[in-house]
Amino acid sequence: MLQSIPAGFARPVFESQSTYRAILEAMSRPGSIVPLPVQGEGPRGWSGGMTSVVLTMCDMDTPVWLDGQAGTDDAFRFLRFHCACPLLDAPDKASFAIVINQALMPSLDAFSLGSAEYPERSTTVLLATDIDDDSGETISIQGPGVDGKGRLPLSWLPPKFMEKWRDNGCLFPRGVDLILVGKAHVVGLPRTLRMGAGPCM
Amino acid sequence: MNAEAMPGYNYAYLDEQTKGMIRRAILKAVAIPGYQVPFGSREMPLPYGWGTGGIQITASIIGPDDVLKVIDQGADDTTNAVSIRSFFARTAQVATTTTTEEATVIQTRHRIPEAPLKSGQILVYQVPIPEPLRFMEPSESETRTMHALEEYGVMHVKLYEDIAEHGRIATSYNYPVKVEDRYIMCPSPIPKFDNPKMDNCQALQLFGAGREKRIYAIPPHTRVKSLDFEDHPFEIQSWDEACSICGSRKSFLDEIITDDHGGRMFVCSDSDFCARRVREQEGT
Repeated sequence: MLQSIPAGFARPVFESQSTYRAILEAMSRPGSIVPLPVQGEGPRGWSGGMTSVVLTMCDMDTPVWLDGQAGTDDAFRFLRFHCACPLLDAPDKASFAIVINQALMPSLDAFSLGSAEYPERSTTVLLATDIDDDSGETISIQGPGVDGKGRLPLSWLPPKFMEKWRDNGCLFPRGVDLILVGKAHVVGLPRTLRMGAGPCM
Repeated sequence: MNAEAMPGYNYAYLDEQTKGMIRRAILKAVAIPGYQVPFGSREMPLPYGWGTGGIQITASIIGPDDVLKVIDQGADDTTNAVSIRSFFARTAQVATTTTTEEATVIQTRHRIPEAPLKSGQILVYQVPIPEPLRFMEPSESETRTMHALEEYGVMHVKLYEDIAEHGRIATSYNYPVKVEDRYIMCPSPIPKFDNPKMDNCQALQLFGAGREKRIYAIPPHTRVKSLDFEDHPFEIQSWDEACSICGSRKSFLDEIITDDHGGRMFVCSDSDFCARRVREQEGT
């Protein structure tokens, strides 16, 4: 049966450029909420924001791992057609991991952490988050890109994330980077970001 | 605006897959401040040494809404700056400017503008030799290990040898810095006068070395410390003269030989800064 594949970007050259600048701004200023200029048309279950970020970042050079909820047949077909990226069964060699359901988020050390010589060979996790929901407790953040101190709502992060993030920070310069992806916004959490009063870094 | 505005070329010259590769390298560079990320540098329509690394970064990030400024040794009107500016005006249809405050992307060779950079601006450096340890250790695998182990003793030995020979740290440009207390980084051949501007800068700073195939970055609000010793603290150049055109005593001055009888003058290296001061003095 002939399956239709969502269109992705309408104007790929310009929409990936403007989306990239939003991602770059988010990674340069961790914790700040950066609007995504375009919501791409993607597989069912993905937000338009997630579609835009994936289309901007992934291609045949980037092995991608998806959590059980993100990795639908629709999504695989979409990724094969638009990005031609290798699709992985395990997260440990992924350039990008797409996590739609935070409950299915593996431990951070399950991803590729890079090496001391090549720390950039680590996974960037694209974590779907409801960025509009910033109610509840916040935690202080600091590090490169943060002017003084900032705050981050805990509701954006998976449960019991703090210790894992601290462990990730202790690996520096190794470690994973996170991009929180909302429906129309992104927030960058590079490995250098310290949350709370972490002993490392 | 459409991608076919320059027939035969993709928007901003580079193909989309190359842009994607460079964009990913920049993101990792931002996440590991001061660390040199290898990338698949492409052949560009100008020779190595003319800013191929900076151009590839600019081409990968620039969009139709950007306003581009290009400087070479501080000046907007030198060959390299004019050529690169017109390259992007043609291939990326971006607006260009010489005014530092108006630019969203500033590509630079060997200077940081005198006007303070703002949040939202991106400064793209052209870098000839990205490895600060290269002249002490020629082997790439060795320097990579030294960065991994934070084994930076040789750099201090080099600065110490300066003191032993000249009585002071004689390095005046390309003065090594340490980023966020971790990586020693080459700031590109900017005068050490500009080093303090890198520290806690509001703008994002990206570095591209085309021949050496490396990209590195300093995010905004990042600690950048020029290396020194307690008894020989880091200091910047100063001049007895003022700028002959605008009279500034605060900017970086170039010495210009005016005749063959020893005549010379000092003028601001930042042409935009100088011209604006002249306009202000004339009240226009």
